[in-house]
Amino acid sequence: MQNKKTWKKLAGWAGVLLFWLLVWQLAYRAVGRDLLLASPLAVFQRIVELGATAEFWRIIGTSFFRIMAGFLLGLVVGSLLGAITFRSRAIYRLVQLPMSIVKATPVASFVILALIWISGKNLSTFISFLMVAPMVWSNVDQGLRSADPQLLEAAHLYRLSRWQTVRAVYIPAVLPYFLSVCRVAMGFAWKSGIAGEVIAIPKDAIGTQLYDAKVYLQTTDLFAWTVVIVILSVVIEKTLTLIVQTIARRWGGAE
Amino acid sequence: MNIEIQNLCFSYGDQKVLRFINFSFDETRPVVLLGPSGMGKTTLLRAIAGLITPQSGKILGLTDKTRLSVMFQEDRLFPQMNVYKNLKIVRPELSRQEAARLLAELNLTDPQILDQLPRALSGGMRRRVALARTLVFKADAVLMDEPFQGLDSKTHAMALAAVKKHTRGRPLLLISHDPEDGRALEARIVTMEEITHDETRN
Repeated sequence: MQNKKTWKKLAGWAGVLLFWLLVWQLAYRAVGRDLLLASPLAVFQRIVELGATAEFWRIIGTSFFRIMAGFLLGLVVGSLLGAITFRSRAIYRLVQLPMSIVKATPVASFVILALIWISGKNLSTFISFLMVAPMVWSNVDQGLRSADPQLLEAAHLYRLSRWQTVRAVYIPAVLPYFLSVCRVAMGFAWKSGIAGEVIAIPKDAIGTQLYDAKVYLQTTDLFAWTVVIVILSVVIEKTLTLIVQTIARRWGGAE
Repeated sequence: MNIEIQNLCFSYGDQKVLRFINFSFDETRPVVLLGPSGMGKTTLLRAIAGLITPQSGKILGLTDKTRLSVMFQEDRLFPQMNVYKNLKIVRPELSRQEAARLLAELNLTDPQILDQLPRALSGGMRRRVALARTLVFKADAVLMDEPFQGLDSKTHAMALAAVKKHTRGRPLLLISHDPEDGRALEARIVTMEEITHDETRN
């Protein structure tokens, strides 16, 4: 029963994919110029070609780890900052302004500015950190603030220690906020990190490959790398969702 | 231990909720506080528990060190802890057997309940777990706000017996709308009207 359902879902999904591939192919026929629009088959072949090289995996690995490092750093710093601003309204007001500015500034501005300060190699880490930290900060702060005052009263009367109160009241309150922002922030980190690479063009980076493809008018490569980025996005998103669900279940909080 | 409330007044803005409340209770006999809703019973309990600060009046017999066990009208169970952990967090030395025995006294006999999360239980079950938690907490005095709401008559009777047994020797103030509760607990029954002494009334 369960199997049959999964099968049906998968078949439906394949149908949708096939439909859009067909649209792509028709569009390619209509345009008729490989320079403007690559054919799906050529892109697929290019991906297979790329996938056979060690360099491809090195580039993906390097980009992934740099962006991931920024993401994780953003999670840690954002969470700590959220905990601090929850405790102190004065610090909250102090932090709010730069955070709002960071949130409103286009990625490209940061990339160019950051290039003056730091090497292109670390840029995607910095950029993804910059995207993630403010998002995590505001969600953690909001989540802590959403802690149930009735439960806090109970915790106070039952003389729970600070750590017990954190576990019994604050973690269940903040967890849904934290987990949902994790997923959104990961997508942002990934996309903005690669956008940063396109401008900073460090060695061994997905963004650099996109840049090269553009400079040398290799439309097929551009499409191939874009497809790779999309696939990686989906894989990362799904993996993260799996981790998130495991954590949510472990802690028993509502997802 | 004697808890004495003297001339306690409390208002929310312009609305006077408590006007010169005077009464006391101790470990020798429970007190059941009766009265229709909206008379400030819950506010009085919150004031005694130190959750709100009255505008005037005194509460004698309580210090910072006094441990009060309070059962609210809401169950207030910790959502991500199972039933056993919800009890254990207020009484660290409580064993699973002891927890199961106490829950059985409240007509919760399924041993699996210890491992269930509050949200998996019905409202009536959660109330009884909250009641159990109030009873296991090592407190100097116990305050309960309508603890038996929504229980069927058999469970109600069992819960009354459990409250009587586990609060013996400690001051107990229990808010109810049912005079039968007072009789079952052999309590002194007071009403909000009796304990309100508004000298400015005349």
